[in-house]
Amino acid sequence: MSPEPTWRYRVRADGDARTVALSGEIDINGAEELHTLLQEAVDAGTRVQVDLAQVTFIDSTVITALIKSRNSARVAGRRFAVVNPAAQVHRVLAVTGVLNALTSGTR
Amino acid sequence: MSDGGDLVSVGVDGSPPVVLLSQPFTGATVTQVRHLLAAQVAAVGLPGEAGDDFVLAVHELVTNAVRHGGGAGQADLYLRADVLVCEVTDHGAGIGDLLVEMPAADVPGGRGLWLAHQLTGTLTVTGGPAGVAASVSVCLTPQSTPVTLDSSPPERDRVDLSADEG
Repeated sequence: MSPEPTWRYRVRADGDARTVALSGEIDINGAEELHTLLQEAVDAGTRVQVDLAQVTFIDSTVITALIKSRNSARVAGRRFAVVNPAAQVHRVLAVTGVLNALTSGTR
Repeated sequence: MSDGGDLVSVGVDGSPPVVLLSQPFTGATVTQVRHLLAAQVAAVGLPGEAGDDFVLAVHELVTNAVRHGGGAGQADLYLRADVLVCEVTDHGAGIGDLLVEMPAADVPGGRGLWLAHQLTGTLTVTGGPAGVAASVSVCLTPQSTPVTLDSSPPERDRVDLSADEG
C-alpha cells in the first residue's frame, strides 16, 4: 500500500534524553509515522531533540506532526526542540512562522 | 519583437502552452510526482530557492487533493510564454482549509494551501461539480514589479480543464 520510504530515523537514548535524527525527504506518506515516532520519544524522554540536519524536504503535513508533538510535550511538561534545520527545511519552517516555536524548546 | 527590453508582456495570451508534464497521481505516488516535477522545473530554468518554492507549492496542492479531493488527481505542468503554470485537479467535494492568514505557531494544521499561496503569490482555486482545480504559477523572467498574473481570488475565469473521468 505505502510506497517505499524516502526517509530514515535514528533514535539515541541518553539517560532521559532522546535524540531523534531524521534524514531524507518527508512528506504526507511519512508524516503519520513521524508523528508516532516523535510521540514515543516524548513519552519516553523528558528532553527530546529532533535533529533535521540531514532532512532535505518537508511539507505542511510534517509541520503538523512537529507542532502536535511539540504541543503534547508542552502539556506533559517536557522539553522538545527541533535542531539544525537546513536549506529548504529551514526556509519552510521560517515561512510558516513556526521556526521559533519549534527551535526554542519548551519546558 | 523589439530589440529592447520588454518581451515580458508579449504573447502571454497569444502563444499556445507547452505541456511539460501531465501526470495522474494517488497518495502513493505523491513523492514520485514531486520528483518528476522538480526535474522539469530545473530543466526549464528555475533554479535554487525559486524552484524549490514552486515545487513545494505544487506538492501542497497535490497533497491537498489526496487529503480532501478524493485521494487522487492529475497534475498538469505547462509553460505559457515565460510563465510556468501547474494545475492540479481532483474529483473531490471540497478544498479543505483556504486560509488567508498564517495559522498561529501552536496550531498543528491548515498550512497547505496557505503555503502554496505564500510561496508563489499566485493561487487560483476553481470549484465545480466535477471537482476542484487549483493552480499556481511563476514567471521565469525576473521582473521588477508589474505584470504579475492574478493574485486575487478567482471569480469566474478558468474553465479550460474539464474533468469527467472516474
